[in-house]
Amino acid sequence: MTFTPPFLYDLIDQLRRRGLQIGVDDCLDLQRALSAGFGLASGADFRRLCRTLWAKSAAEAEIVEAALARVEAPEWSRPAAGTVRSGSGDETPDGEDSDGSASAVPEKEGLDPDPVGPALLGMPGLVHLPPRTGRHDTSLVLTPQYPLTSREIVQVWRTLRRPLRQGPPAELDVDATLTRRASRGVVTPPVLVPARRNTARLLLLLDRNGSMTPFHDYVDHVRDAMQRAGRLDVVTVGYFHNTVGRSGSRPVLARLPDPFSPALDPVLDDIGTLADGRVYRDPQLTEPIGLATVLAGTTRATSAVIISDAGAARGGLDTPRLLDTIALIKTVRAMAGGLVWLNPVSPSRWTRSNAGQLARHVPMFPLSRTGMYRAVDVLRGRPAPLERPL
Amino acid sequence: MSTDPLRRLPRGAADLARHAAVPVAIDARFLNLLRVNFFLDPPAPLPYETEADLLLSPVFREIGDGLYEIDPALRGSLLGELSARFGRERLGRVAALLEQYTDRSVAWRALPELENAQRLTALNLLDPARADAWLQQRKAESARGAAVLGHSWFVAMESRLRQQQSALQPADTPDSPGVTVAILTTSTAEAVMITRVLVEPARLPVSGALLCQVGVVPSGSHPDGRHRVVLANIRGREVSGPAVVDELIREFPELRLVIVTGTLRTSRKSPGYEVVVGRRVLVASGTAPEVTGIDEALLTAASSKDLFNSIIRPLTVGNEPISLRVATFAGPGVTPAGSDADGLVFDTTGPRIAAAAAARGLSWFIVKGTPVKTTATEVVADYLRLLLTSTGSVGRQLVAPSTEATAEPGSTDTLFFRVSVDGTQRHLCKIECSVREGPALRHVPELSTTVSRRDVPTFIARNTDQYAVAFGSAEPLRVEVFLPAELLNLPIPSAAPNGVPLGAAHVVVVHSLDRMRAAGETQHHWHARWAAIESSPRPRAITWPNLEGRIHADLTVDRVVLTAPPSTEAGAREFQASLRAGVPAIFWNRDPTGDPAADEIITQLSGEPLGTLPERLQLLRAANAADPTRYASIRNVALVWDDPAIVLPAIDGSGR
Repeated sequence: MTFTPPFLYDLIDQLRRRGLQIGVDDCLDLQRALSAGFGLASGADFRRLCRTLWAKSAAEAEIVEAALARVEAPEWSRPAAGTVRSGSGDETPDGEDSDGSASAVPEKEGLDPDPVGPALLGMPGLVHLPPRTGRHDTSLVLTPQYPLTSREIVQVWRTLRRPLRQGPPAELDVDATLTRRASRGVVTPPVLVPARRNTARLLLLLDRNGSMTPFHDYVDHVRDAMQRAGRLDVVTVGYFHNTVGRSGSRPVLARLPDPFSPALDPVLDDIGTLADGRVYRDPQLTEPIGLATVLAGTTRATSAVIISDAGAARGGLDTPRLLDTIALIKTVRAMAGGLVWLNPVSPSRWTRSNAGQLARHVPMFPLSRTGMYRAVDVLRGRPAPLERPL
Repeated sequence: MSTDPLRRLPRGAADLARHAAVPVAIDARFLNLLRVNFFLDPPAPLPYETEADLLLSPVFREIGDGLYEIDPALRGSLLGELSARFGRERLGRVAALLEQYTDRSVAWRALPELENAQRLTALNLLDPARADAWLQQRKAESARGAAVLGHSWFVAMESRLRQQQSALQPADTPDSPGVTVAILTTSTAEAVMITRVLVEPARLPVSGALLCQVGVVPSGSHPDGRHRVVLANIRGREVSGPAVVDELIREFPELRLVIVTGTLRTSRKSPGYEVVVGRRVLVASGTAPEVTGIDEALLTAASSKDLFNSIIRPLTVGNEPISLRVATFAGPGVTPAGSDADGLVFDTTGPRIAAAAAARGLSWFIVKGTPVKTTATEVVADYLRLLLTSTGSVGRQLVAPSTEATAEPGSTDTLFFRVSVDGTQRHLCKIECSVREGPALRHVPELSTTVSRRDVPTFIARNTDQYAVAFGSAEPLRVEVFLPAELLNLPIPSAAPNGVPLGAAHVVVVHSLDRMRAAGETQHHWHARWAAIESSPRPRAITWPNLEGRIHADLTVDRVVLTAPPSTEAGAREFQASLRAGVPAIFWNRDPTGDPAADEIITQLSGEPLGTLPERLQLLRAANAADPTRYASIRNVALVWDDPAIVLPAIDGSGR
């Protein structure tokens, strides 16, 4: 029977809560490595082993390191034996062996050299910086953590596929080759066909600033992962603030019978497309580009995704803006193959805001794993039940 | 800050806010790191959504570049609470995180002032002496122009660091003397008002006052660490008021005063207050729709010397004792009780009061004479502030009586008529009547009966007149009528059994019974709109066909003019929509053909302040009662006027 040190359970809980899905296999890997004599020389050596086994990026290594500091894994040291090296960390992987006494010093709250950290050296003109505190807490995680990891986002959007054979013939079509050979009875050259390519295109329209500011990092994280996902043919990203443009259909608001009802249903069909919208190429909203220019590159293979809180974050109910947004949706849908809306605010907050109304007209999903899977399903053609489709 | 910004935060977010108070400014990523490091593990894990909720809450103010900051006073308070709740060790860890994040983050690299401020803040938390030494040295250099950062930066940082240190000081001296006051209420509107009107202007030692939905309340401490006010709103909770009071006393052993407001006092289901009354519970009545509990609380306190001496005066901890004796002024021509009083609190108005006070040689008095109830409450707040801060005799008149002021709603006797249509015999209406005299609300069974629908106006008018005669009241009474939608078009103010229309002799306020019974969603709209109107009190009317710009999202719209009476199909639709939206004043023209003179009156009234509409209408009716032609147009003006704080008087008089 194998003895499991108690801190290991806590450690794995900590890691799983921080997005590292450590499983039984990972624990068995650790056990086998320890049995083989790795990670036994000191506490630091053990931590290094855990990082090596479980972390696949610098950020994950930091999370493992912080979790080990939090669970107060035992510190020990013994004379380095033979092949087992007691390194003091990744910073000196090829450095000289450290002796046991050096690694016996706990890293937690270790003293940093005073006064200037490496990040400050590049700042011109500021030689008299405030002194450093001298406290470095290794149990602190400095990697942001969002509801979804990049890997999870990529997994979702990889399923958005529209495979088509395009380009020069490069793959052997076995059936066609055999058929031709059999039908002609003489040696014929192999039949080549173009390779399958994912022709799915993605148009991302991202709301910036205002109530979306708290979500910037998460949305950027999602955007980066989506751009990497599934080798999409083209990913176009446009940014906007609140609305893409003012709709020319605003006068229809005067025809609404009830000024206190947020629904635009009575005039929904009268809202036209957006004549002159504008988006930006950069998240700082400094490089404007016409919406028409962006949409000129869209085809029926293009899936449009809008990421915005639609007023849900602050609970805003703004009918003119709702009308502008519906005009935008109509404009995009006229050009693209499908459109979904991803909202970083949870659905319970959509009511009493423009989001609640928009969700009646377009497929709107939370910016979660389930929400994104459902969004991709809709983009692949699965009908979404809507109360009042456009 | 008018209200405690922490009170609307999701559960656990206040603790995250306390951590976020460490940096001088914060971005979303650092807030994320605070959550990841301190709020991901049991016992209080917080979801990602909390971060955005917090950044978008009134706690933070966006200052550009993705940065947010907390109001300096609140930040000091939060820092003190962080230290008190989580200890110095946690404070040190947050400071370390701030420094490590500043080292690594490129976001602040372009803002050297900010980056250095963050570093200095972290150092100040961990090693104040070193931070101060560095600051003084560089400040001297900057004065000579030898430093890269401007002199103003050093001056500002010096001030901030000093604030930071003083904010953390009380946590180290928890035994310093202080005062805790708890306010227990059942009315959200009143709780908001208390926070805004009483707590803020009175400069009660309160930052961190908490409004919570259950009886058990966490404490909030003042930046000076000595005093606090705990505000408990138990509206809609099935809890007993006395039980909450007991809980409060257990939770806060140092509690000096509990002010109970709202409808708790007179509820027969809550007899237990008497047990603690006289010890430290001050019971205030809030049963009448217009009376704010705080007004009543202070009046009650002032009218009872025992209560005053045992409760209010001990609040002046650390100050010289206030030489103050008080009495109540029961009304014109009535000698104030308590011949040795040197102060007077009364709730009527007019020059007679000032003369009476002067005749008795009273050195100070409080007048509750203005028609806007918040003004009266402000007076009371001022009074409480003086009690708490004065070091000597309170020898001044707080508010001069206004000769123009009409009687405040809370000062007039009020008759309540609740009318409902019989379930089976639709032509019959059941009427329940209650009367509020002073602080007491009582049911009047002899005026509660069933009458024919068309007799409702006459019944109400006749009985109001009889009440006025029987009790010798020369002042106009206030008649509050609660009607279902189908009866709203009844011309109750125009009923004139004795020749004078009811609405001319008395202030008649028509309320919608449906609104009182509406679902929570509608009540939410009511409170939201009312809060918006209170924050922006200016007349904003909409006439129904005028739909320019879609104004449903404009919460400051406080009155609506319908195109038709609610008894018609179109009018009913418009009325219900207005009701759902929480519009407090709804006008319409009773004349189906559209009397233009009535429309003109409605237009004129549309510019009047919301709070005075019933009184203005009464004055208009009184002025034109003698002119049948003119009065015919006024008769066609219908007004339903409502307030979310108004509760339906119950048959048993409990106010519910």
